[in-house]
Amino acid sequence: MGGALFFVLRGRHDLMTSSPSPDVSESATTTQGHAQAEPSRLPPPGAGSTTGGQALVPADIQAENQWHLVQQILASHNDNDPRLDKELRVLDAATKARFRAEYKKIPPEKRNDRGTLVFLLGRNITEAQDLAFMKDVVNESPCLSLADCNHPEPSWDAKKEEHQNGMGVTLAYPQLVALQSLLNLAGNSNAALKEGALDVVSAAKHSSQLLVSRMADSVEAKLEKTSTH
Amino acid sequence: MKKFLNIPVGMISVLVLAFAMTLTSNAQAAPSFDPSVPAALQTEIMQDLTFVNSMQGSGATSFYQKIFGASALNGPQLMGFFNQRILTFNMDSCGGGNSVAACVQPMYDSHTMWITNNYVNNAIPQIYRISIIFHESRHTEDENDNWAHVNCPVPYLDDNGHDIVGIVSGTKMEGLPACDDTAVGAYGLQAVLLKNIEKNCTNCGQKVQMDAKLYGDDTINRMSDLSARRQLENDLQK
Repeated sequence: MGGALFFVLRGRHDLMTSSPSPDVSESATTTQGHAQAEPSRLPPPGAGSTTGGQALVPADIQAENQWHLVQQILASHNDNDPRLDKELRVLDAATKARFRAEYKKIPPEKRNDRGTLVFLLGRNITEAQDLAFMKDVVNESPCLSLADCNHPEPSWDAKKEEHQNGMGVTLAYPQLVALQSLLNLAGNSNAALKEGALDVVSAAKHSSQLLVSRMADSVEAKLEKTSTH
Repeated sequence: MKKFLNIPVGMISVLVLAFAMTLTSNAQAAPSFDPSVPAALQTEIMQDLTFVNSMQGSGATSFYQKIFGASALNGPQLMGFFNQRILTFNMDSCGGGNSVAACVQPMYDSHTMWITNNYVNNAIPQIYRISIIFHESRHTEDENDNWAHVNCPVPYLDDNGHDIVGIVSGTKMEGLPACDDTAVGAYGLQAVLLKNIEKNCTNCGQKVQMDAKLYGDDTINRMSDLSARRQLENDLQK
């Protein structure tokens, strides 16, 4: 990988040279959902300075609020919670750092929990640290079963193969979500960002997980196609 | 206070009743639960079905219309489809293992969905859970020989001439009863449902639609009959 990743720091709330990643799905729309959303925790009075009557939330409190939200949503098992696309749509540097740290604490068997964090971070890839995290994700050791990632399911037999449909996606879920997030950078004008994404994808191509390496091939082709223009 | 899914345990039975009332269509009642199904599992299932019931769509592909009989993705209509087939949820190991979430056993009862604890204990995406129980509901159709899976062909090769193996087991799939030779069987229904949610759901979140794509694309590969697979791919514009 040649060239350096260079980003201009514009301020505490916006570290981007490019906007956050576009919607992950071509048909993504504003969510309404049906979940009974709980309001985010408000910062304590006087926690931040005021400008024009609007309180600024210190970065660490914002990160804490957003992490609290994620925990609520993961505990509810409701992936259609509208707050995933509203309060958790844009993450600043402090929140991203918090989420990356929390990711490591989640048991690897909790595939959806880990994948949800990758999804949220994947919509906010703007700097080298974000790409480094995605690279760590795609380089993780394969999860061999939902009971214990370190061991394959002991009771497998041929008659159960019918019920294995989708299980490969589940076991590789965080990695596939990472790749999907990188694919969404295809329309991004930041060449350095796309170059970094291709580096991560290149690593994923060597994954021992078949679904991951196959998807990496597909993502690489699409990213390179948009890079040549 | 003990909680599950952030809900006080004592409230769960009240909520299950409330959820059930929202799922009742004009013609079919919402499924009931055998008392052996733990309250937490009941809540999870009813939450998932309530989500299905809430779905709205801007259209649907031809195979969706063929399978579900509706011109657009529509939650209550999907629940009507499901409620016609599944009347009761009950507990069973479904052969054991930590990957099986649900099954049906038409030889015993054509309208019961058997659920394992994996349904709630495994941290899997919600839309995948939903697609599993819709897949299983397809197997209850006695009039269609339960859309039984067929043995994968021998040899079972991909487009590059390589053996197709079970993604998890690594074992060759040739000869295993884990393929479909029709685009409208259980795997086909699952793929069609997922891909239409991905493409046409207007009130699904971005994560749900991303998950629907990941699992929908993967399910299409269970179609061993190439003609059926191409029909599905064309319909779903994979």
